[in-house]
Amino acid sequence: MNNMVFHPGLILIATGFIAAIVPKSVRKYILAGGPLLALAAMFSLSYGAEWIVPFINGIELHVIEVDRLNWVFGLIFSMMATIGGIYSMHNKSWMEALASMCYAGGALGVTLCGDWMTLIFFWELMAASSLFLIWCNNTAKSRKAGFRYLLVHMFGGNMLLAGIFLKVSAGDMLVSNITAVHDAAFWLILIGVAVNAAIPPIHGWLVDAYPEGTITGSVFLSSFTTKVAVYCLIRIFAGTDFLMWMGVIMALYGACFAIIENDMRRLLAYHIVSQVGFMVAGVGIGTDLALNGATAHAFSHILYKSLLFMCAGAVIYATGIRKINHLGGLARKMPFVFVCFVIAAFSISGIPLFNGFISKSITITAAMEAGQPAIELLLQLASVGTFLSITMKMIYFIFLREGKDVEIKREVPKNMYVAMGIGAALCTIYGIFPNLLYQYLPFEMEYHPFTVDHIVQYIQLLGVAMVPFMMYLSHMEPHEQLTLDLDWFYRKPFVGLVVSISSLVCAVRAALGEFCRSIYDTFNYLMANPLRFLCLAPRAMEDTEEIPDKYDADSYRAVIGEPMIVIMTVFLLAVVFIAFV
Amino acid sequence: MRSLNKKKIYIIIAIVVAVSVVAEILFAHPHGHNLWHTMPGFDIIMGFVGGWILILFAKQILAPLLQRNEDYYDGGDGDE
Repeated sequence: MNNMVFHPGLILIATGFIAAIVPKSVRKYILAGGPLLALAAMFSLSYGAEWIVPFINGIELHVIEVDRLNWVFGLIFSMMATIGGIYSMHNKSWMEALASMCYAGGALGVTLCGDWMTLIFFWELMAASSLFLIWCNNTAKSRKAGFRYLLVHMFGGNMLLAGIFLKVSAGDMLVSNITAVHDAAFWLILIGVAVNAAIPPIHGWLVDAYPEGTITGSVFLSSFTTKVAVYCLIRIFAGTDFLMWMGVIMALYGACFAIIENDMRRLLAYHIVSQVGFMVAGVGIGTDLALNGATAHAFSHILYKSLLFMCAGAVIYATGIRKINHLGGLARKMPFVFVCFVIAAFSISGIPLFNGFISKSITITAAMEAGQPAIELLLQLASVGTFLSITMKMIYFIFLREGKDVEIKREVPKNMYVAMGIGAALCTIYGIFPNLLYQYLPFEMEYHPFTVDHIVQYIQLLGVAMVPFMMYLSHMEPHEQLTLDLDWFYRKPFVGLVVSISSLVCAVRAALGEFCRSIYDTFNYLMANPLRFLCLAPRAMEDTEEIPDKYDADSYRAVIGEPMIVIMTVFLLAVVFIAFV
Repeated sequence: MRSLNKKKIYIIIAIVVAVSVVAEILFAHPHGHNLWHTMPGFDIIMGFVGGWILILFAKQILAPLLQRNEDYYDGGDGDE
């Protein structure tokens, strides 16, 4: 197709640059309007649309290549950029506006492209721009967390680059499923994508960095990096068996850590790991139904997780508090935020009539139909964990419990309310009318979420899960402590390793320098008076510390040692050269 | 949640779950054939036991093992 196509990602990137240079009063309209244009451009792309740009050496860049799979991801990314743009309209920082729009544009670039080189370009653009969403918070903690984020993503990006280098040099230019052969390129690309998907053991960056981002930046961060990685997993690694188990581990790991976490946004970050686990498990199962489940869950997840981050951000904006144990009783003080949070919490828990239910249950059903009972049951257990830590723990301790007098320090801007309202409306609409989403899913499927079977299952599962929480309520309040995770390895022992290796190198360097210096000094000393070789030097000619009383030519005569060293070194090198070359 | 409230909530949960079990027995057509698909009320056990396992594992094993003071990573209040 040679029709004119508009790239939604490039529209977003242009929006970012325009927003960065215009005055503050105009910036907010750009931030809301640009993503809407991108959303319109997304709708103008039809299945099969292409935009191919010639590159060096006869290589062609498939900047746009639309099919059913990437269209639905492109749709949710443009929707999310719009919601995020509205949420951050009040922001004063031009850099944050630029970073967030470039980041969202990069995500759309990765999603829509068809070849490896365009993919790695937009991939790195995402990593670089998202870093500034963390640094813009401008605290010592965020600067440090940002550096760690940068290091991990440089590692992942370079793995991906190396894998892509192998693919491209073998002549495979187009992104495709590469699970047939488990060669070096397979593993390198898998590691690169797994870093972004936060698959353990390389998930520490996510829970480390996301809570340190700016209030508006975290909303963007929670939506793009991991879900772009899920898209790449579906596109490149569908049907890789062991991913099924990685997904289950992620789902349970995130749920367990969330139960004890105290920092609101870090708790939500653990639930990104947990929910992405459902998607990774779907990719591992690899049937059409499972891949539809992963796609649908990514779609729903972006909506409710961004809503959770928006609500947490509103609480932090208004109160300045991020720790759950300092919060309480906000339901009466921030009723709108409370309602939105409840909708998002019901969605993520998979309560019927909210959008988590219509997508999470697809993956679990796919596990059953693929004959994986262990996966099916463990994913259900993870759903219980999600319900316990978000719906029960966060709603009770932040919004409902009495006895904490939390002061509202500043009003939440109206645009934040509007964005939360849109998110809450979408979570509910997609939950009640699942076909709005199902019609765009990439593969054919026969699936009905609202059967009596499914609904009573979730009512029983989640209804009864409230009982242990309430029985254990007195011990459920999180403590004023931080939880170690696998990032401990590069924050503690790795730091020690680097420090000890560099001290060793410094010690060796100092000792070598001292050794060479002693040779030089001895040589100089001997050359100052060659008679010393023969031990014939008269006592008067020995060096003395004191300045002699009367003029002595020997005291002021230039030492011949240094020219001698140069001459003899050149001579030795010449001998070696003649002898061996 | 005061204890009176707690009692009310338990009763509400019991009623809702009981209704759901009756509905399951009368109307549900399970898709799977394993025990946990066909046995009415299996998810009650799953929710209760699973909930306890997760809470106790996290609070009794993970928390003592992995939780440290806030300033564990050298405070983080200043740039080095």
